[in-house]
Amino acid sequence: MGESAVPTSQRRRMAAAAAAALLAVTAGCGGSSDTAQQRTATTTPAGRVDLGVVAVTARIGGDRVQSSGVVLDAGRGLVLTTAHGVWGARSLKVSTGIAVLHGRIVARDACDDLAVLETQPRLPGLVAVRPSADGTLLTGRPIVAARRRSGLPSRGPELLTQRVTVKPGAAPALLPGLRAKRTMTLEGALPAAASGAPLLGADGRLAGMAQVVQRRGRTVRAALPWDAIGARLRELKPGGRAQYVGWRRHYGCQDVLHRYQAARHAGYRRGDAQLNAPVPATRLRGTEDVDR
Amino acid sequence: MTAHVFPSSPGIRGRGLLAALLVALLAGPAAAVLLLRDDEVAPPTVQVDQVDVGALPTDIAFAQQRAWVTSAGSDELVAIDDRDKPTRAGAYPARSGALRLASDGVTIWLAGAVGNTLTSVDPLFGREASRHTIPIGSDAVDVAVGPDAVWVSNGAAGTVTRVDPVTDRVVGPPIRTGRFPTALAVGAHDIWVVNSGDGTLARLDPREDLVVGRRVPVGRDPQDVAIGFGSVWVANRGDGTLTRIEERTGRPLATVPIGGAPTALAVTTEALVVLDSERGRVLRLDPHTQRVTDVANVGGFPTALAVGDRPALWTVDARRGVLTRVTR
Repeated sequence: MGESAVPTSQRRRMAAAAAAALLAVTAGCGGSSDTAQQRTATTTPAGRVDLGVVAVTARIGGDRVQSSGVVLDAGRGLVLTTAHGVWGARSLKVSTGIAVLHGRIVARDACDDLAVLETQPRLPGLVAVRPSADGTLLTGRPIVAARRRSGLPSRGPELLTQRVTVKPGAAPALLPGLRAKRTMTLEGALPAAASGAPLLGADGRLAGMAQVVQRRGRTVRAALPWDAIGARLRELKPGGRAQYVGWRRHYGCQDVLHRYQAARHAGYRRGDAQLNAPVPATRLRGTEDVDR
Repeated sequence: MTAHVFPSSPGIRGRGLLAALLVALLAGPAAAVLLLRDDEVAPPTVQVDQVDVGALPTDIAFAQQRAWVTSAGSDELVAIDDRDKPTRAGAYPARSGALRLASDGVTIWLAGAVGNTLTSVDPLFGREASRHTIPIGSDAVDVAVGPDAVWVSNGAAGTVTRVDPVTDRVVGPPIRTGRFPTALAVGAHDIWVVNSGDGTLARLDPREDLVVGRRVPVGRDPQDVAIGFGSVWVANRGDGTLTRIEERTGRPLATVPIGGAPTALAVTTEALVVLDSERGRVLRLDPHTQRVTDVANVGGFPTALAVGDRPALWTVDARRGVLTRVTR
């Protein structure tokens, strides 16, 4: 690299500021970009949810896979969803309350079935849904799962809400081999497209996330409480130039997701799910490894 | 953290603060004048004109003596006449949810996340017979126009697609450039592609449709690339810097701290212009001294920057739905 005009101390401060911002999001102070036009929408809980819930469309193998997600950081365009909904995606589209955007995976936790996406380009108007104060899913309390139809806004009703309940006690693992320590059994007819949908408490705040998989012809549903998600997010920090790092030890279950996707999606390639593997450029024959 | 060896008592600290405030009040204006005269160049007087362009405008291009603005919130392409006061001249149906556009001066190409297609619009023919949809086969994230080709970055596919502007068809197989290519710029000899997924810049030879040389590391969250003054410039939104690379050799030259969130770049005859979308500012970077000065505060959440004929700088504010023209 050539001459760098940024002193090391300043670079450290920038990295620290970025990390602090990410932590602030996970602590419930996430950035929101209230627009003049959308101020009314963002001041009401329903408006905030509408601009904070997204639909994720992934092309995995030859299939289109629909899932859901929630905006974590509006300024950075970060969205939380389930890992199995985007694992091995060759294309990601994120339908938001303002526009349809491109998506890119920036962090994955295979064992807890979590993934963080970044939207491209960065546009104003998205709103991070605020987490609840205690971050727990209480059994017997009213909980709503919110998701969005994919596609452009203003094409009919986009936000779909459904009342669900959480059963006491830990749920069985979503897939054999995934971590099930913190998940709870979710009751309610949520479809697979609701996987990654935010679970909202009576105060309209984020209490957890729905995880839905199809296994041997039946639908398995679980809920991951926000305090478990927040703990994972606090482990993340900006790393390298393009990804977030800190979830290496949660990659141990990646074979489970490889097997799940290979069984469900014809044309799925294990190589599509490798985030950090270098992509060889189209080069003159014999010079393909010039970057190594 | 600083350790205080002799912590002062609250009373002493209070009196100290009062004295410091008094000194600052008396000496502040004089010091500011001296500092401004010695180190700062007063920002030039500029005229700022604004015109409404609809919901969520995202990009600007120039064709047929007009500015064209695309919008992620509608399916229209809005035309603006570059008069004494910029005025809205009309709107053309283009494509739903367009995010990026580019022009060769006559035809306008639009890319977006709705459908894996590129749309070409020729406003010469008015509302009739003006649109073509070109299937790309993968994401169409950004678009750039060269003398004999239109280039589309394909995001998650890790490739760039070449489109023939005459036949509106894809030419050859997609060219792998790196992880998640986004912004593109057409240089004198090469196409430069920002790979957002691995934080690198790739150089693509349009005669061979091959990546040549090593991919150059750039900063965090690169958003735009521009070519001027013998250099390739990359705006790194994530760390508030510009990366400067020598166009001829592809060698990194410098990292220039800008601050804020540099999101878009444009090149004038004298300088590189940088859009800071976090603070709503337009900045000027002298390519010889690499000194950065303020040009104008456009406010809001600007997402695109372009240089017009007048000469003028144009930005779109996605938050307020306005197009801003900055002239001297």
